[in-house]
Amino acid sequence: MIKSEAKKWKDIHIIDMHHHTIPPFYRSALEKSGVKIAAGLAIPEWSPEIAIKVLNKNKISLAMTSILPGVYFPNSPDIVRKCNEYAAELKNRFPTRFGAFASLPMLDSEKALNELDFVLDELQLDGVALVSNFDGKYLGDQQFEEVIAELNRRKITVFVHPSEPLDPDIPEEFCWAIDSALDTTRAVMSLLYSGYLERYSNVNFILSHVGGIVPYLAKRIALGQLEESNKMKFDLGMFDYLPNFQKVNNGIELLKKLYYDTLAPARNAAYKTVLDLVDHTHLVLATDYVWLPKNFLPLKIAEVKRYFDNESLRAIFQDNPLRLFPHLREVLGV
Amino acid sequence: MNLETDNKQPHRIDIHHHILPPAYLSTLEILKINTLRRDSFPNWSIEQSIKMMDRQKIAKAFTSISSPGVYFKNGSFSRNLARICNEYSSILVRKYPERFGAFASLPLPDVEGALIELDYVIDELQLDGIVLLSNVNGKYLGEPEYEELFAELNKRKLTVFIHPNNPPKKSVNPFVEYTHEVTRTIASLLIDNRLLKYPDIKYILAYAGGTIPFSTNRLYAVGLNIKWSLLKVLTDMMKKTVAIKRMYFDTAAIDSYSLQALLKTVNSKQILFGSNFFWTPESMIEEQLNSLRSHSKINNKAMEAIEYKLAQKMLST
Repeated sequence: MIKSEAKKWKDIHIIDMHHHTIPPFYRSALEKSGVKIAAGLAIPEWSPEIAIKVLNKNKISLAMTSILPGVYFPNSPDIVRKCNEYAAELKNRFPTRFGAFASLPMLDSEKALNELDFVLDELQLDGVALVSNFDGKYLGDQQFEEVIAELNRRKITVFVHPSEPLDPDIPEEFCWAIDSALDTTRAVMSLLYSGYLERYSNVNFILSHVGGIVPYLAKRIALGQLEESNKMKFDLGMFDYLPNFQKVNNGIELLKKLYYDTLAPARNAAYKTVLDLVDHTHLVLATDYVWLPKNFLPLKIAEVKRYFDNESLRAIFQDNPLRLFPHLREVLGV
Repeated sequence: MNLETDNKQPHRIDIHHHILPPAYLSTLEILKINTLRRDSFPNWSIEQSIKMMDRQKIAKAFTSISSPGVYFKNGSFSRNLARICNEYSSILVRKYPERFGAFASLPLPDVEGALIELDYVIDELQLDGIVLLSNVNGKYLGEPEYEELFAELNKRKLTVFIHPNNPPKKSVNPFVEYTHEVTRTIASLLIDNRLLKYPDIKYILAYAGGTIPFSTNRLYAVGLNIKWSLLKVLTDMMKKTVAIKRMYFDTAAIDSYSLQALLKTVNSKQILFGSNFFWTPESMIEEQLNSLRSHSKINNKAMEAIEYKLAQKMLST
């Protein structure tokens, strides 16, 4: 009998925005397509029962789940639908413990728009998770504008997570760990320089892994802001992959509007840097369970508790997520 | 403009200073390489370097050939090009010993050629160290065949300046991704423990270590075996942390955000001034140094160490 009621931490609800589920059908699909996980990691086991035990142990009230079929199945709307239905089922079984980011079959705009309607109106999922690129098309791609415009109209919170590094010329052996952060960064740059961050400002983007390398490279990314005298000799066509590239003068301002999760790629250094860019009102908790084995969760959460003061923790654990998902107030009784 | 600096004699030591020997530039032209990414190569001359150094109060610059480096074809072509460049640097050093030092280029991935050139530049030309590009033709520094070279660099306790090269394929955004090459090549040195195996090599990482300061957790995961005990994992990560903390990071491409991460990664005593002349506009140099000056962890003494004292000690100038 699972104890499905959450315990709070002090008087705060801890809400984890970065929790991966692996439904049985999805695991089979991964195995069937011969997906080899980097660094010898096996595809972990995930079940609602164990997950809730882990949440309880760590005093996590609620986890926002994501599955990310866009990584290995960017062209499979059927798998996407099954993932979303699974997420809805999980939510229905444990409404006070799990929320969900839906997936979308982004490579087919019509199907993606239909799926968006379905997940929001029928399944009532909470937000959308998008990987950094779908088959090499980064999120700022022209092809995705229609969907992003609809996400904007509906004021959706979008969780951006890196795809697996796909570049065959970069040795996976030692780059698997460090290049995924670069992919998140590329996605953000494409969103910035396509004008989507500016135009579709009702979308709240949460960037995983403290934004990849975005906070660290923020000034370099926003180079369009430099005065003429300081401008390096790079013409704006540096974004070869972005034909709809436009000049952006307020890059830093736009990067400051994004949310960053706490899965630090560098201890303390990442937190220090991101706090220069945004403040604690734009950070959310990430554990990366189940890819992070359950034994490491207490360590991860302790790292966050150790770095930030109580006011910041209240924001990171509870208030920021509730701002992004106001309906959770009712769910959690806040 | 910094009034303090204006009144000082040239005192800075610049460890990230590029040159374009005429024969090198001609070779690039023959190979139809006219630009690095989208920028044309400038009209560099010795006078230009010296004038820039006077303007920026740089007493001495340690020169290097930047990307695309000296390797274009196997065999004597690249060995000769390396030799020409290194001889040129040597002439500069001999002509202006107070103003120039030099990091020599090696024709990797030609390991035999690299070993021959290494002996020559250190024993005959007596240059100050070696510049290694992050990758050449997709081979990063952790390449198995490079073991012998690293053993030799270690034996000679050399200073090695690690500088990015263009990524193996046309990268998605070269400007932002260029410095990440430093991280990739250091990651490659963690696969077979090469970084830890040769602790007498002194590494200077260009561009403040690229993206390393924001990627250490990820970097230390490279070479980890999932089957190890927790104790072994933590010990391994500790060793890697120590190895990174012993490296030197230059100031090229520092800004207020990247500096936050850098100073959480290493002590300010590991930071060396580098201008990235001729690519980075001079106006950015003061901006970079100001980021440092205004950081709470950096006092005048620390700034002196960064601007020249540390390099003086390291490169016995």
